[in-house]
Amino acid sequence: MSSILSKIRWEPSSQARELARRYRYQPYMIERYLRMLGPEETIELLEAFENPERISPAIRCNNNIVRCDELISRLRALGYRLEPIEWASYSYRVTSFIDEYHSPTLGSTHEYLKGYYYLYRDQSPLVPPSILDISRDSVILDTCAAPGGKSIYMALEAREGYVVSNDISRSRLRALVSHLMRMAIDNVIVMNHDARNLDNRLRNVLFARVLVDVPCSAEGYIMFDPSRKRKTDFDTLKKIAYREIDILVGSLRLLDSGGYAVYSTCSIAPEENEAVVSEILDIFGEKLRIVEPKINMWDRGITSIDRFEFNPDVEKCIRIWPHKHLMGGFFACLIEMV
Amino acid sequence: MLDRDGLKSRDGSGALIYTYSISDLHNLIEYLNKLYGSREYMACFDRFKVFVVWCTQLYGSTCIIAGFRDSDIMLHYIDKKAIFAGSVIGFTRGTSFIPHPNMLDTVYRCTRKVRGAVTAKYQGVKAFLYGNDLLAESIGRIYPPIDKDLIVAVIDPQDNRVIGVGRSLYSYKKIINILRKKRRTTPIIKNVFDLGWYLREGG
Repeated sequence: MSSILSKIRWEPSSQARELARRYRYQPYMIERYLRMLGPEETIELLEAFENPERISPAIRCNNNIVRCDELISRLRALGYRLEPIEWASYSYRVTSFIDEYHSPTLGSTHEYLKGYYYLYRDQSPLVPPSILDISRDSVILDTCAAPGGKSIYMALEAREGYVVSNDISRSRLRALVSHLMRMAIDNVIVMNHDARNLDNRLRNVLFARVLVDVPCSAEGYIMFDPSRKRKTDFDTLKKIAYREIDILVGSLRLLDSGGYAVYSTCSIAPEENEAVVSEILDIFGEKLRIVEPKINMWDRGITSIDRFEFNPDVEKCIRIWPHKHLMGGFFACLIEMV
Repeated sequence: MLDRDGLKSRDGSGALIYTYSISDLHNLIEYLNKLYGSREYMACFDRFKVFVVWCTQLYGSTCIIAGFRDSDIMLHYIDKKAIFAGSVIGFTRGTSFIPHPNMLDTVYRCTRKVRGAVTAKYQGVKAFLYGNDLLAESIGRIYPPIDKDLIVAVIDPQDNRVIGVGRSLYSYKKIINILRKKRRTTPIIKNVFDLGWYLREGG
């Protein structure tokens, strides 16, 4: 089905095998890091994955029901140190070191239970909704929405519009609905369908904004789940990438002309990112274009690795590296339906 | 909860029931009438153009009652098998109605009158949010009417937010009596729903 993805292969070198053994990874992953980053930076990346405490959690204040300055002073009184995130609305990174003995944890304060904020494991998930250019009356589709952090951010931004939040997993949607009730967010419509054929369900509906944060290998979040080092073999990774293409195709069929979509993953694998976007550009041709987002404080997309060349426009996408940006590994790409 | 006569069902199964009129939500009306003695609270629901009872098995047999500000949008997505949307008003389990803290917050703010509620002291807030009952020693202010078995709101005085609801185990007079006699460890409000539920069971 897809040309670039089918071509990609990694033959692990002895150096890659040695690092894979030392850090307990699938060797193909290390070979890929070596080709993308070189030996020194590869070690930095692997070390970053060993140190989850370097990554700051983040919160989005629920400015619908609480004054954010009041919330921040209450959290400071509990011992948390917070700094505003300059590129996201009403959002703060929590910079104080929070260990498991810190009581109450950020996810169990009274302020949390009262719905005054949403807690993100790190800042990366705030990137896709921040680059989607949402206004107060936007109508937005979030095709793989659970557990809901991005939908909630967008619903708070589009207070006079609404968000249609879909997810294939009913059990994960339960978490999303609980967050909506906890935070008194009333402009989210929850649906439970397979995003790959959501267009069949939502016939005759087109959206000006679509967020496609696909279920991925989570290769950018190894620091939070070390089992990811070995969990995904290369064949499985490719299957995941093909599924991501299918989800993105299904989601883009619901994007209105002149509208914008963001494709994002919490993975640093080019197979799931630049390759998927390149495939989509092949499928949709001139109907789609990649747009430079208003903010990119991180790295740009990779246009080639060795002999594998992606569509040059993927350079406009955002790539977040844990060792460089002290955030979860992430990829986000702004797409316009022409 | 609901007497389904007069309510409409889009999917034919009764899983999604909607109505344009809050008067059709009989248990809610009955509950708020008990608190306010009149219908002064009705204006607090004016922003909702449609009410939906979501019995979509998200939380087992508990259904969620919610209001939504635009009926056309809501009905459009009900047709497309939406499973939830709107501002939560309360839950139904079998025939019982449980008001949601957000709805009570809204009504208290909108009417500027707190009815059928107690404030909890700091330790009481903490204990109640852990799913425990509220004891006499944790009761602060009392806002009548409070009858035995009436569902009452528990308020955190730090920010005057409703943190949950519980069933009063005594009448107002009896509670005053218990407080006077300093029977500190007597449970007064039996926890029915508190915001800590979102941590314990919500996900």
